[in-house]
Amino acid sequence: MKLGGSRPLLHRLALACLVVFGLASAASAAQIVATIDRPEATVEDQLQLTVVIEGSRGAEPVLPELAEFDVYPRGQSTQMSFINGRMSSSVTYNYLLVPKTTGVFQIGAVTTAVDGEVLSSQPFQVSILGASAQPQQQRDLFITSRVSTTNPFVGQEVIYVWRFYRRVRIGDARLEPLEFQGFLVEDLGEVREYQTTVNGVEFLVSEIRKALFPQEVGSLVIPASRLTCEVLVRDSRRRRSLMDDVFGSASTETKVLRSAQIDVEVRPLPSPPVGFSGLVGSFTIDASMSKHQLVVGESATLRLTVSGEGNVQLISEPELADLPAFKIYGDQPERSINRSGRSLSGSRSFSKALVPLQPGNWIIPPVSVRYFDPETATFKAAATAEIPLIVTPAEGDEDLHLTESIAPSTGKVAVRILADDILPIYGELDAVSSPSNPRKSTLLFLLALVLPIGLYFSARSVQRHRWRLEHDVAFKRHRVAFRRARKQLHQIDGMDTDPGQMGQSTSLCLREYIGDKLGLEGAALTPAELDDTLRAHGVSEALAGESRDLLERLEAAQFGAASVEAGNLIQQASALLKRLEGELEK
Amino acid sequence: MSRRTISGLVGLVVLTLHAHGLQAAQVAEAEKVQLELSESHLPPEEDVAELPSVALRSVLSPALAAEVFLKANAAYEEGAYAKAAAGYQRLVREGFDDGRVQFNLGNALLRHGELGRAIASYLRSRAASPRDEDVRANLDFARQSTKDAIAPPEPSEVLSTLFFWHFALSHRELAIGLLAVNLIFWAVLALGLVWPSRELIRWASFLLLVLLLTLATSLLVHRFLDRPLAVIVPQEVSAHTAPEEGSVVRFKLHAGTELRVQDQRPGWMRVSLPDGQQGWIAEEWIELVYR
Repeated sequence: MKLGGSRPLLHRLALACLVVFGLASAASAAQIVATIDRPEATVEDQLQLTVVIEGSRGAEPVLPELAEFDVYPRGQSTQMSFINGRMSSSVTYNYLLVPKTTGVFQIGAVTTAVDGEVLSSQPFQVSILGASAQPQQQRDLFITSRVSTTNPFVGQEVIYVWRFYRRVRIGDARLEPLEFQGFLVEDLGEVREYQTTVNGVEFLVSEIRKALFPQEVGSLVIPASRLTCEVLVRDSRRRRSLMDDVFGSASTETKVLRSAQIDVEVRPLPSPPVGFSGLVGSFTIDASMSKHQLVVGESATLRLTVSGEGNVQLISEPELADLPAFKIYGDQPERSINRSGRSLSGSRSFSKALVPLQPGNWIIPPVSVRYFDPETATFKAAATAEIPLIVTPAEGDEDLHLTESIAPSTGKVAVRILADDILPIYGELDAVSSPSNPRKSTLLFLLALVLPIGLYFSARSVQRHRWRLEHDVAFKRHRVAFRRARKQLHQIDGMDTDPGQMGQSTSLCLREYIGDKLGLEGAALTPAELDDTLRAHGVSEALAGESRDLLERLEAAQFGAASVEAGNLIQQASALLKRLEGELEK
Repeated sequence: MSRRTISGLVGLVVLTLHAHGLQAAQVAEAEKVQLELSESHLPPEEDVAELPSVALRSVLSPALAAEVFLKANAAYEEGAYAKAAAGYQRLVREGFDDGRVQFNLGNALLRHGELGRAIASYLRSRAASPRDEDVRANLDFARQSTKDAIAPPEPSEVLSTLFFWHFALSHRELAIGLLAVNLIFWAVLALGLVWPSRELIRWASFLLLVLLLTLATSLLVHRFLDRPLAVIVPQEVSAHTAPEEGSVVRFKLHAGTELRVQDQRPGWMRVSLPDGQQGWIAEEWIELVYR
């Protein structure tokens, strides 16, 4: 294909686009239409509101106030059509209207603004009827809620049962939170699922049970509960195809179910007697002693258990009669609430350690609990039996076992932090024993850090020095030459010998010193060789000359020159030695 | 041990000395500046006058410091928290900045309602006594009262477990540990001069060298890598986009919030939030805390 051949095609495409967009711009005037899928429905149904805005794709619809409905947007779609040479575009907005109540409602105009012009749809009416009048067994799904009594006493247990019946497949069920204003609410177990038959029709039921305890006298309302779910609906209008068989042709429909509102009239309690515990329901009290015979100082556990059905959360410690012959120590009570039954039941146990102080036959008097029985509308009292205790005298001065088995079977209770606060200040005076001094501490740190290093290197150099003295003869001769020469001179000076011998020894001492110092055989050096050697090793000419001169004079003394005084020569040699050491060690 | 290794060690020692010296001086200087700043919050002079009357800049003897300490403690117990705080601050200013004094100062400031300064004092106390449970408890308690939902900049669990000595030892403890290990290390090396062929000495010197380098590295990291913490002092403070009073306010912070200082300019400090957002705060609204 030639490259130039595509140009006519591009031109044609561009022309087509121009025509399409030109037509679009010349489309019909904008308008807005709002329609509802049916003019009549029940409160369990939902309505489909469709708003079509033609001629403008950017305009957004503004819905009228729909206080009687919950409104859920369900998306939008855009359509473009080309009919009889005219281009038209429209945007469809879908809304789901869920009625809140029954009645005939006016759906006001839906408005939108297109190019500064406000367009309105036509208003219309919708009738919302009551819940389906069909018998329950003919309905696919419904919910019920009921209470055990609508005329309870304040504090009386009211069992609320909410059930959701269904015989079709549902999904995404959402129950709005149940509201029980004016009641203390206790859950009675988890949601139960079971199957039941209503007039011969089998339903799957989800059941929620709650125990309600009215806290106020007068009229209380348990509002209607509302459950929203998606129901699977088969489209019977569509012809079944092979694809339907494979993928299914069902669609879902949103259903909103409501239970009826329940009105409860709460009665006040009659005038309560003295000692009324506040319990409403049916209660018993039980008492047990761990021992019935004990000695003075020995402890026994009295366990009081109040149990029953009703507002068991309010069970408080029953009052024990005054027992002057005993020391009494309380323990944490144990509570047990059973929520799995048809009503709330439970118990609370109070353990007390009784320590007899005196011997004798004692009686633990009955312990009673006063409660209100709503069945008979009377106050009742439950009481324990008398408990006899035989206390014998202790043998000797036995210590009181006050902590022994206060409550052998007492369950452990988690410690609860009631309040928190900062920990107290320090009072130890060593906190201010010495002020910190950054400069001083830095100096000390420096010294302490460097000192070991210095000591190590000192030890190392001493060791090396010793090693050289032991293993390096030349080094050793060099190091000890001066000391040895001085020692020899000192010995020569102290000897009582003739000047010739003295001169010979002194000369030998000097030459050996120079030989040791310079690593040579010093005894064989002549004065002239010594002069040259000293100059070669950096000794000044004057000192080298003096050394030569002194050696010559010592040799002269050795061979009997009368003018030479031996003692004077030794002093000169000693001085020369010092000067030579100074220059050779430079 | 080769000459090169020993030269390296000596170099490290010099560097550590530098770190220790600078750090000590820096902390002292910073705290002095902070205390001078906080003098404006001291109670009135008549309250301070009840404490032993010494000139503010004089050197307290340990006996006089003990008296100030006891009187501040008594003031605290009586509920005169401002007076107690003034006493503790005087002690800190005079160099008696033991972790326990900072702890008591934190308590007094917290009771007096100065949350930011209290948290700064607890942080200083924790730096001096990192394993003190009381300090940790009171710091946690004070942090509960902060308004900003900003987690304090703390090392992660992994880091604090892997490098436990770095976080569990105070600067002073690290320095003393370094000195001790340094002494033992050179002593073992000296023993090696006497018994050069002993395998035990070689291993011991190697292990000590590793320990020495570890502790020295910790000190160096504290000195060169640790950024100071900034604790917000006023009830509310503005963080600006630039170190200028008229610049745009990026966000606001509240008393007790702890942040890392990223940069410093004369009179201003750049702090960063955990999500990386940064702002400039006038240094008069901040208490700096060094590790």
